[in-house]
Amino acid sequence: MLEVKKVHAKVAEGNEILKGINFSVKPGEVHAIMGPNGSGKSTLSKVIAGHPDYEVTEGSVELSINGTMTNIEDLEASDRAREGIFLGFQYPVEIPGITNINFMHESFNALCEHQGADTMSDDDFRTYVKCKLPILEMSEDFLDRPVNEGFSGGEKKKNEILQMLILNPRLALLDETDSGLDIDALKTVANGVNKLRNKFNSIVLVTHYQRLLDYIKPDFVHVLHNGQIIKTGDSSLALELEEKGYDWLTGDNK
Amino acid sequence: MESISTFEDNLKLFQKNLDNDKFSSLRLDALNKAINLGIPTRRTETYKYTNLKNSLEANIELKSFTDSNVKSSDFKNDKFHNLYCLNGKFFGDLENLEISKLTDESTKIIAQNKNALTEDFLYNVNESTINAGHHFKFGKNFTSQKPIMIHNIIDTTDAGLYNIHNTFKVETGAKVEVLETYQTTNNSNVFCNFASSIVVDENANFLHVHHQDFNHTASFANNIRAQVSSNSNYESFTTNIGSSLTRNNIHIDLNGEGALCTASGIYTLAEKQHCDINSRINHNAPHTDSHQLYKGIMSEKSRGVFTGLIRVNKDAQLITSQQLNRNLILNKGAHANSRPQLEIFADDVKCAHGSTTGQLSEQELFYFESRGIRPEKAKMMLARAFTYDVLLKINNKLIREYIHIEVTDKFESKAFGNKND
Repeated sequence: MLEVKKVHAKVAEGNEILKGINFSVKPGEVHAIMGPNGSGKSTLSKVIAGHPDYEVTEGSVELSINGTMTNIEDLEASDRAREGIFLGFQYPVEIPGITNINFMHESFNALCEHQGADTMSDDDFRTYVKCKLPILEMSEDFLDRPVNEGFSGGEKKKNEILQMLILNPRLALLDETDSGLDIDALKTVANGVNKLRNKFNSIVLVTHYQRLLDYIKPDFVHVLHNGQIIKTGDSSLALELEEKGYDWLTGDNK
Repeated sequence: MESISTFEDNLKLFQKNLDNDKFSSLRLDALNKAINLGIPTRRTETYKYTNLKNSLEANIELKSFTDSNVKSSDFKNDKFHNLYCLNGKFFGDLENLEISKLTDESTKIIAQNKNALTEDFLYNVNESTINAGHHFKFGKNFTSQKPIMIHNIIDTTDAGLYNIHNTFKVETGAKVEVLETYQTTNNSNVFCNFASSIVVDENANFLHVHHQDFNHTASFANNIRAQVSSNSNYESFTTNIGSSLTRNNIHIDLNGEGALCTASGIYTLAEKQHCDINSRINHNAPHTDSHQLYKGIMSEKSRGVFTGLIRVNKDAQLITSQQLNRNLILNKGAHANSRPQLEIFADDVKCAHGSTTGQLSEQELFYFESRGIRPEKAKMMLARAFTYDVLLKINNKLIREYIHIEVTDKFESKAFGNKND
């Protein structure tokens, strides 16, 4: 599904943030990327999604497109989304003047067209979206409000997961989806993410804390420090980190 | 400087050839005023960012319209009650609305507006030629089932400066909804300088929407002057999407307690289009309210200019006034100039004014792209979203929908070439 090979990346005219990242995600797997603040977690998800502010200086990101692993260096963010990558934002953007359903419909139809599927009419799309609302305990009026405007922190995160479920991506990158959530919202969001899980889709969770992983059990946990993956393990690694802290691995003794 | 003296001579000549009538002395006063003011330069405060020179040079002769063979009914829109003003000639009628050539009542209306735009060059040029034009009288308690659409159609290939001055009387209790459209039938260079003098009597409501879609070599000016009486509401909305050079002068006097006005508009510009909105609202009585929201979207090498002055006179206590100008710049090379101004001589008032100019945020664009929406399409959707709240100021659904479609579709095709991928 995804191969990240020796990736070095930096912000245009800035310091190198990723310093040789290697990992690979197979269909059906859930990976968690953990690490202290400033380790490069968010950068990694943005680099994979094709954020234009980041430049890959060495290495490559490969995505399975029509069954072939393909270097996606030249694909813009919108192309990557059309090929099935979804980025759930840590800070979802508020867009006054565009309704949530309109935004999702535009996005959904763009993906359908690209993938050769039929687009949906307004009515059909609304029906389709309405079926997904209960999963995230959202009411229908969210659909007719401007995108994320006036949403609480938790509502914004639920709205990200709603979009994810509607677009049904092959690779979901969820950047700090758990930050700012109370325990009930965390369970709801995790339940939404678990709905995407099947043997074809892959999920990469970027998170600072272990608590999300109580509800979404990862197959692999990678610890990112100073732009490199310093340890990889199974879900028990997350528990160990929770107990011992990152210092245990990074060697920092503060 | 030759062009200035030529223009003055042309103005004098044009006036001399008009018949003597009830407007003769008015025209002469305005002519002297226009000549004293002279063609505005960069040093003219109210024309600081707007240069009329090229437009006037290309249209240096003053002209009257000749008849046109265009079928006005081709412009008909069934959602509205249609009236047509084709090259200054009027077609169409409506029960209980009196439409005539300028009347004695027009003279009164113009006199009641005599303190408005007196220092404006283009307005004085218009008044110095006042002759062609119509008077619209909306009698007591006037209402109409459908909103009224006045199609102002300019059909000429003869370059020159054309002036039209209409007068509107809205009597007590009337509820009037008018959409005036301004369009040219071909790509010729003309300069049309319109004026409306308006009196709104007590307890009346006048929604007055202007939609200008001239060809992109023509020039357009619209001078709006309105006197608003007690407990009445004048709602002005101007959209400008066409013409190479546009000037809107909007002057509203709130004269009686409880008088309200909204003055709003959109300008969406591309190429080297230039649009200048100059608004002034005078609060002359206590308990008067005004709300202004003007939004501009500029792409390519266009420029939008907004100058808005709110004046609160000494006795106008307990008034509320808001003014906001917001500009969206779509690319380097496009410009916005914004000057909100307040003059307050009363001490118990609520006034707010402001202006913002910005670009689409990178964050917003990336959010769209991460959902598979192409940057061009994202920009289009965000530009459309930018106009959303200002369109809501149009207090009639049919007119609002008409403007919405005109503004978004035409702007999208000129600024983005309708890239719908």
